[in-house]
Amino acid sequence: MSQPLLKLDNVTKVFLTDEVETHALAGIHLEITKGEYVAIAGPSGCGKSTLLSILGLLDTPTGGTYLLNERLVQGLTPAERARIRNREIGFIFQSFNLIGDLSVYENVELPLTYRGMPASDRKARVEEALEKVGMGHRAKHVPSQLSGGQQQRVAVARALAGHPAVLLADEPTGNLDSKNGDAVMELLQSLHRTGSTILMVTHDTRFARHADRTVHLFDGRVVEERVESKE
Amino acid sequence: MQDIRYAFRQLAKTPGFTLVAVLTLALCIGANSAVFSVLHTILLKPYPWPDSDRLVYADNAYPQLGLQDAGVSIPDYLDRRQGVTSFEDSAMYSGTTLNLAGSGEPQMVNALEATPSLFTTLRSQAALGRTFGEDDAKPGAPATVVLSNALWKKTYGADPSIVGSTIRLSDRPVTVVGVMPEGFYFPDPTTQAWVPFTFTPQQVSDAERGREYSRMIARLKPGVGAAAATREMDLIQARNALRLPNRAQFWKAAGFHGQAVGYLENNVAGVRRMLWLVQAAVAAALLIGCANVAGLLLARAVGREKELAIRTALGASRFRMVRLLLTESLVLFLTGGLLGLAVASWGIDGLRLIGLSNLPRGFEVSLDPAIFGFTLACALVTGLVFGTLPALSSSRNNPSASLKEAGARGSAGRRTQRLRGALVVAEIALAVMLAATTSLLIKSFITMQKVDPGFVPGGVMTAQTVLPDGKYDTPAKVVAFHDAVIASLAQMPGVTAAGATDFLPFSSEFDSGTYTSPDIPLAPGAPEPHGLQRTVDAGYMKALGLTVLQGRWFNDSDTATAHKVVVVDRVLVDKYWKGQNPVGKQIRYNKALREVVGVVGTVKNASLDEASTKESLYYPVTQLPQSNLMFVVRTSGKTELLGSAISSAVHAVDPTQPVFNSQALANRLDEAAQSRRTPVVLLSVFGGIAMVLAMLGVYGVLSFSVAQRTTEFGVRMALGATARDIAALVLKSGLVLIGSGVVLGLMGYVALNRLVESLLFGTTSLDPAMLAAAPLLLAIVAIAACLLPALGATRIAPIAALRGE
Repeated sequence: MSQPLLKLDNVTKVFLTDEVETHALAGIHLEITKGEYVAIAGPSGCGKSTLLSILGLLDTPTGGTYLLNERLVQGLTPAERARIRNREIGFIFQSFNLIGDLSVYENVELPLTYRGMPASDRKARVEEALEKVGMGHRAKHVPSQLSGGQQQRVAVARALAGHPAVLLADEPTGNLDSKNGDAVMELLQSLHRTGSTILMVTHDTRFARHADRTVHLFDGRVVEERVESKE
Repeated sequence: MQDIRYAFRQLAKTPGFTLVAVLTLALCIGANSAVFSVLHTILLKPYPWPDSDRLVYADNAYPQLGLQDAGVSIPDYLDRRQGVTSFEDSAMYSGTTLNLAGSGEPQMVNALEATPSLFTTLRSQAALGRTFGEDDAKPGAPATVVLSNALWKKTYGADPSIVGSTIRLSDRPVTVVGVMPEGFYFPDPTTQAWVPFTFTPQQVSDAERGREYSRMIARLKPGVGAAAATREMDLIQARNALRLPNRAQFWKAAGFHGQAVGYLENNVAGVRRMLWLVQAAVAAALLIGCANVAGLLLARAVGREKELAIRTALGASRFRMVRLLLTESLVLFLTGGLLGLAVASWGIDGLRLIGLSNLPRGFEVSLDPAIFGFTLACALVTGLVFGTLPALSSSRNNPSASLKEAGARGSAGRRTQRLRGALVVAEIALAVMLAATTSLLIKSFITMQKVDPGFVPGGVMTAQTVLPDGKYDTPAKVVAFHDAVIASLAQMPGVTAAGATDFLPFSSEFDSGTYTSPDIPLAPGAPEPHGLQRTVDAGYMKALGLTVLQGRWFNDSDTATAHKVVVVDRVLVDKYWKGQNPVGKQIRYNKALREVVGVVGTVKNASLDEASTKESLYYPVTQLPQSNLMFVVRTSGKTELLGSAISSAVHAVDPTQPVFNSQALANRLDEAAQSRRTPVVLLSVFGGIAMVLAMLGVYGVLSFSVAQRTTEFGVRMALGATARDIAALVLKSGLVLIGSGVVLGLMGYVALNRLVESLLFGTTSLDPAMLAAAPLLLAIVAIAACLLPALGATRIAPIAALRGE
């Protein structure tokens, strides 16, 4: 059996607010292998987004261990964490989070510029990513000129451009109507089919079914793991 | 009314913002009011005599001799008084000092010898008694005097019975005929008394032409310009030239003519440009301060978007919204203006400390109704201009977008950011212009301070006495007085040298005149040589610290009956005898041929930055005695103690002789530098304020930007940006603002540099080192102002930033 791409072992996350401890995650064990498409589902406040933040190195666990590509990521410096985020993780946010002052092309190019990649290589990667999501013709537009669905496709292209090891999607359809939501889900599905590893947070069981496996969280614990049947 | 109430309530809700904005405005508006009160009093306000704008000087000029303002002789005055139809009235006057003997120590009184027409020309009347009539000025008439209100109160305890009584002035009985009203002065408040100018038959003759020890003032007829009067004076001069062919040649060569120049215009010519420059500087500081407040208003409006959107949703029109926001701004600016009046009052006190009273009419500066009006107008106009911008911008929001919080912050924030950025660029540009000007003036001042005055001012005390003609009516008596005082001074402990002169450098007084020489060949039609004429004694050279370059200085052998001698300076030698031995050459002055026995170094006469183009000639007091004696005493001890020592030495010889104008020589140089130092100090202060305000602007706009872009920074970090990348991003946006401001500021300065050129000394307005240094310093400080927001941005946790969306 191949080594897991992401491995969480007894991961906990405690928030301290006004001397009150809130256990957002309580002993999470999770393994995701390369090429897998996993959905994390659960009601609001169950810890889905916290888990995604820890997996995406945007936040640090209070306890437990986290291995990414067999590397223990706790104790890394902020700069090393930034480097891993840039090279191995692709983020897709619920509210797209495109930068309004930059064009579609520049938004997609952004993670590559932090990598110090030459401009010609960046161009090829950006064009490839935009073509993949069907937004090549909108490269010069700014986000405010696009619909919500188009903006999310650009966000997906931005996540893909760096050829990350894993795509982390946080409620990617949350701000979209059902038609655009379906289109984005279809896009993720097609990316998965071409080998991308995807971890998606959703509270919509309809979309969770697109994944290979669904992890159900409740009160910061994994309460159920179900492999989705593909018929 | 409702808007005003609401405005006060809103401002009270944000005391920090209100305090910063009001204090910024109070400081900037107050500084403007203080400087404007000076500018208004000196350049714009009429003199306190009715229709003073019709008063002109009608003096002589010799442009070919470098004398633009030569005064007037008695025959010239009489010609013009009788012959210039453009004049409604005219007068002639000359400064003098009188010894007022009373019960206490003798008192020196600053007085003016004036023709009786002075008071009619000024249209001023006595408060008590009368002014002069024509009979008072007739030769042989009983001596009369008109007292100033201040002298009347100080010396005679405001006793009205003084009018008609007799006092002793310079050892003569004089009848007091009148007391002028409080507030009257001419030509300035230091004048304490006026005595009639009496012309002897000799003085009104043509022989007197060229003796220009007085000034002429005239009142133009209504609707007549100064140019018309000048043309009439030219016609008179042409007639005189035909009548006096012997003098005509010199007049032509010297460019001699009479000229009518506005009284106010002439008096303030030396400070006009500098005052406007300082006013421009302080106005720039005000604009920068206002831009900062506008920036704060913009930032505050972003936080109030939801409130404004609700108002719009409830039916408020855009006009109503603008009115509401503008009212808030006006309340803020007017409060700043009111406090600014207090700042202006302190500012004027501060200006007095750095030499305001040395400026022409500086003594008149006060917070008068015009300044209240200016301050109010300043607050209103700046409030309208800088309040309209944020009001228009904030009232443009899309209410539906604003009510959806996430969407709202983006668009309004960006628009606000752009506006604030533009304001900061303008602030930096103004600060650069100010810094460049200030740095050049500082360099000029430092360069000037390094100039060698031609003598050694340290350790020298000076004091003046004027011997009355009646008591000291022969040259021998003057010389005897002089010798006795010098002998007494020389014996005092610590005194290393003691001397005297009639006109001391840096004493605001000098005597100049033409001379001839058989050793100076003149081309036909060339003007006669003209130089500064000084009477000195044997001890003067050592006491002042002059350098003898060739030959010798005067000594005890240069007696009244000995061979007449003269010492000249290097300017004269370079001008006429370059490469020759000047010792032994001859100069004719005051009807006597004198042999040059020595050459001394060039001495600055009135300021260190003057061009030394006018030669100085020195004559021994024994051979050319003068009643005006300025004692110069060098000591190895404390200079200040010598003031009373000079008085004691004079009183030991003549107890009735007042001593005045006692001052260390170094102080005289210091005062002469005041006209350059004061603007440098002011520009440095306002430049510093402008720089601090501009830096606060940069800091404010970047802090606002960081707050606005927190989510964006979170996204960038999620995509792999390090803290250093984020800090670089913030710094870059700061640098773009700073760079744009610096470039615009330099362009603005280069466009206006000619305005500064005439105020500089020893440098040019485009001095590359200074032009680089000022913006560089500003840029360094501005970058430091960027660092705090940049560091703040690096501390943003990506997850917190993303949650903040």
